[in-house]
Amino acid sequence: MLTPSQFIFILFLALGVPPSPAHLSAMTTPTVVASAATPHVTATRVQREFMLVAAGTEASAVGRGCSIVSRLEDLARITGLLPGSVRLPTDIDPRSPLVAIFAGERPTAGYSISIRSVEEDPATASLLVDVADTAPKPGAHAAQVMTSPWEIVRLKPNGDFQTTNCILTTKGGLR
Amino acid sequence: MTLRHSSLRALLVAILLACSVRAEATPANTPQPVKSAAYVEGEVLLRLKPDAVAKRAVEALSGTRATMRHLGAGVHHVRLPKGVTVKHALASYRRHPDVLSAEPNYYRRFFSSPPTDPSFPLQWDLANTGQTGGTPGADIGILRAWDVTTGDPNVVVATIDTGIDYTTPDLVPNTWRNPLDCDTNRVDNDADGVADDCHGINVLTHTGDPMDDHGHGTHVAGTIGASANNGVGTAGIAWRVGIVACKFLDRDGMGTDSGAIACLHYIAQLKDRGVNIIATNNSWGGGAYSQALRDAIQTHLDRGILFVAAAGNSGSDNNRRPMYPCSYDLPNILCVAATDASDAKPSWSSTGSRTVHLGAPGVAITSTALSGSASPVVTWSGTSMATPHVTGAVALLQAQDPTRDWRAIKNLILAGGNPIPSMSATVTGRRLNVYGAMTCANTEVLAPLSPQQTPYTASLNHPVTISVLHIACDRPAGDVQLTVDGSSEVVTLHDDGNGPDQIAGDGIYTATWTPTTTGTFTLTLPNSQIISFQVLRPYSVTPVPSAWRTITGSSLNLNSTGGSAYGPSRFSFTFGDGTFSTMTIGSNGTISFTNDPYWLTESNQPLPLPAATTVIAPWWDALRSTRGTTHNVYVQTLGAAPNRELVVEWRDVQQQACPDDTSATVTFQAVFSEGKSDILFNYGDTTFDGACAVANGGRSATVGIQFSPDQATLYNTTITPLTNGLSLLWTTGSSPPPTATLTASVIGQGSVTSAPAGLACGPTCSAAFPKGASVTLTATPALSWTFGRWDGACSGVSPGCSLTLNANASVTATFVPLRTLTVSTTGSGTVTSSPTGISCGPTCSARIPQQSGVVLTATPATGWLFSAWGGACKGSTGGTCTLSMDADKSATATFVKYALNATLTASSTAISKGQGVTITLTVANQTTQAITVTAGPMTTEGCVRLAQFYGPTPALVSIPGMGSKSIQWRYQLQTAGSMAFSAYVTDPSGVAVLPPTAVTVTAR
Repeated sequence: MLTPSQFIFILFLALGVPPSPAHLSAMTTPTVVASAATPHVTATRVQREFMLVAAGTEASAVGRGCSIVSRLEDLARITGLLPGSVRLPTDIDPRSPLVAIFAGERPTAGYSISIRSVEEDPATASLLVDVADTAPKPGAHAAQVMTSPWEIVRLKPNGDFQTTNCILTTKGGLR
Repeated sequence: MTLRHSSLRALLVAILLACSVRAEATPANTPQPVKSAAYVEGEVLLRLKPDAVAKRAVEALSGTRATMRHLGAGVHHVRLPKGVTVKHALASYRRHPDVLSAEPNYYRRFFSSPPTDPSFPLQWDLANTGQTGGTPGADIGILRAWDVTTGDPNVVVATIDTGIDYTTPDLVPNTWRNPLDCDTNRVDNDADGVADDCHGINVLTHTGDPMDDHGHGTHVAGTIGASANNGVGTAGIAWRVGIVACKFLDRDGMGTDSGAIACLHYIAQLKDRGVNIIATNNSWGGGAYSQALRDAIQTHLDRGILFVAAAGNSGSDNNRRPMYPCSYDLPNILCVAATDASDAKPSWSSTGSRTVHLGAPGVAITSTALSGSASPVVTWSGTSMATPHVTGAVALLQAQDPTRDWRAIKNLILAGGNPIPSMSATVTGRRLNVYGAMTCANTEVLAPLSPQQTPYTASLNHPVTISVLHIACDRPAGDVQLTVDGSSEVVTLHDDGNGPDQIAGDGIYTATWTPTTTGTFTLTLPNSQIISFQVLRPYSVTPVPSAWRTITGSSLNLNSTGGSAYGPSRFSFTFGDGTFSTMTIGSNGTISFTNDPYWLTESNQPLPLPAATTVIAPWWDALRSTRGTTHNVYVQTLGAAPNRELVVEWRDVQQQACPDDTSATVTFQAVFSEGKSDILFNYGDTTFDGACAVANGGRSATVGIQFSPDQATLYNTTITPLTNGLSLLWTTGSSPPPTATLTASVIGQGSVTSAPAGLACGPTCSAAFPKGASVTLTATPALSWTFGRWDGACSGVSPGCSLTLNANASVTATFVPLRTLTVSTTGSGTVTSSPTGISCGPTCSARIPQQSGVVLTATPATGWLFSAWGGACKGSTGGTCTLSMDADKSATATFVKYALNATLTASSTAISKGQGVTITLTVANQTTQAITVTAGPMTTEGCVRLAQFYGPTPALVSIPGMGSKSIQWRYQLQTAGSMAFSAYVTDPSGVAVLPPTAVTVTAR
């Protein structure tokens, strides 16, 4: 049985996508992912566990947003936004969908986006995806290449909650 | 084969026409015959006069080893002997009377077939056929350029980036290999500080392995020099080139000044040891102004290495918001914006009419990917991608003509591009065209470069540096005169490397201009482009009693790093006696009337900040306001016209270092008054305390006002921390104290200083003093020099001069070198001089100002006579000698001792009374030199009545050498008795030296 970090690492090797430092950190300290994924009920919302599938900075998405992949046709749409080298799992299960987030077009290297938590919100029939953005440190030099950071996770199955609505939140602001 | 001339011409025309059948952008200028690398080495074509003996003509210059074949129509194909270059042979043949023309044997072919690299069809940037929906021909004209040269492996460029994947097939052939340390022995064989730096270095790991772990550097390198026609990936601009890698950007594409500086240092080292590095590619930027980084780039300027930089992807105007390193004002920087396949500017590409030189393709650029990627190529966008197009062009231009230096290459790139509307906000208004650069002829570019910032604020009475680019293809195009609108003043800019001009001959012409009144000024170039200034009055600061304004205010709702444009306000702002309608307020305690809030980084910087023009900084520090909270910035207008105030209040703002301590805050204000330049800084709460107590009182803040890029007034919070209730009043004063300029010029070697201080100069200097000031100047000669005289407002020969400065004045201090006069004497006597200096016996010397007239006087000792002058005084007669001190001189004076003998005789010693007697004094000179003595007067002693008939009293007698002279007196002894007659003789100095024995005469 692969741990989440082992899974991520193998995925990176397979895809040739360089893992970010945050991902490397996650590999060496897998509890980071687990701690964010411990389910508990807050009022009407339920946190969902998730596992990193892939991440990068070279999507073709111009705008910011998130998308839930629970059908094969969703997968094709999301794949079209990712670099050609990225291969996503094709065993799509609506109970265990992929969640793709996109930061939108950014002017340089040094930007990234990552999911901090995912909550079911039965009231709006949505997934509330809280993300953290990373930007270049002020005063640092950055490669002047246009980027479009993205991250895809897979939710672990949790009951019958299904939705196609995805709402991005940034409770923590810039990281 | 025999061809008539017309047929030959027809053939050549046909070849040329065939060579021009391609659909690609026409360069802005007329193509010229291409240089080197485009012809067959060792071969030339000669056309000889009809009656010439061809073999003789050829052999006359090349010797019998040259081989020749007649092609017809008088054209001969000559193979040169080994060792004779085409260039040399052409120069010789063209002087030969039998040769009508001589030219290289150019390669002629159809413009290059596109490279066979499988991804070349994606490279619209190199050959745009409209394959991506763009405009055919909107590319860099590389296909025609490749007919001139495809590069030279001896030409080396460096990429300062994320490294290079030197194992990927497209880069293996062109990745530089260090011949001195290309092994894995962990020994720094070439003593450059890094072991085994075969392809470059990684300054992050301090190793000789610049392997790319991001992909950016590899993509950039592929654009510069991916191997062509190798069946893999793409084709680079230079098919043959050496690429050195220096990795300082990490796997996220981020890096620091220190890393970039380390790379620049490494590359400079390689250059110094002979690696032919001509340019670095710098597809990065974004840091704040760094003097250290600028200095490091300047070391490359000193070495003739171009620094090709990205303009940035923020879509900004770099004139207003500098992007470093692109915006450093160094002549070796080439800053590049991005264009797309339709020659349009992508929205994200930054530009700058004085800071970004030209555009190059930067949208959807396909280039080399890291090894192991799913595809050998990847398509990216950014000014990162535009930059290596220019770097590749630099490599080709150097390969085309190895004698070109960086100035010529840079200027060819600037002048050779295609003018396109989307690049109108760049220095040249052009997009790169490599073939246009290679064949540039008669294209002139005239454009302002500095001041970079637009609008630009200048400080009253403070010089401003102005520079413009003025080139004709690769060369400087001549001095530029700017007219100051509304006056007859003309400012002439030079490219001579003197004063404000950094480098001679680079086509950048520079001068300084000093505004003497406030207001807006426009300087116009010959092509009607303008440079505008708003001249502001400087500020001074005075602590005043608390002037805190109590406001409720409207929150600007800024986040921690945000700025906010505020305006147009209800009233215009007056600042430095200038008028502004909009201000930008930053969360970090700053305001500007002219700049984007780009400096609102976490760290404050010293003022003046070269990148900015106006900065009002009541508390510039790493402050934190939080959107949606009361920790924010508030504004409110108070009062009624025409005496309204705008209050900007940073209320309960935190330090970035203490984001979790919401009680650690400070509160302060800036207050602007309607119609007045006065600004108040009010401080309500100046203590963070807690973990941020170190920042209490603004100890870590910058407090001050900047009114031009190099002028600011500061309040020193280290010496006097800000306190609760403190108010600082910033005023420009009613008018600046009138000043007068005193200019001092120095001739010769010495210096002039002033009291009060201000002047301290060698050849020339000037300083402004308050009008009416009393200024004392002191002239101090250099060693072996002496002060000569003052001219101008000072006069005289005293080294001190006092004057009252009621108007501009100038003085000249002349220093003259000192010359040595040496005098020696023979015999006994002294020599003195006028002016004084010489006063000596046997020998002495004195230092006397050059060109002075000196009179020497020889004075013999008692019993001695001055005899003669020698040396420099030879020929002078008498006891004086006049010399002109135009050089060191020596003179001698000779004194001789004299000997005299005198006798006194009477014509008879016994006579009758009433009879006369003649007394004779005879003086004999027993020396060889004539002597003048004084003889007499005759004295008598006795009781006889005398009557004198004649005889001098006294007499000067000149006695020739070894001769004698007699003086006679005649008396009548009228009564009987004896009378003793006596006389004396004095020497030339008046001393009685010869009292001869008296003679007695008796009368009966």
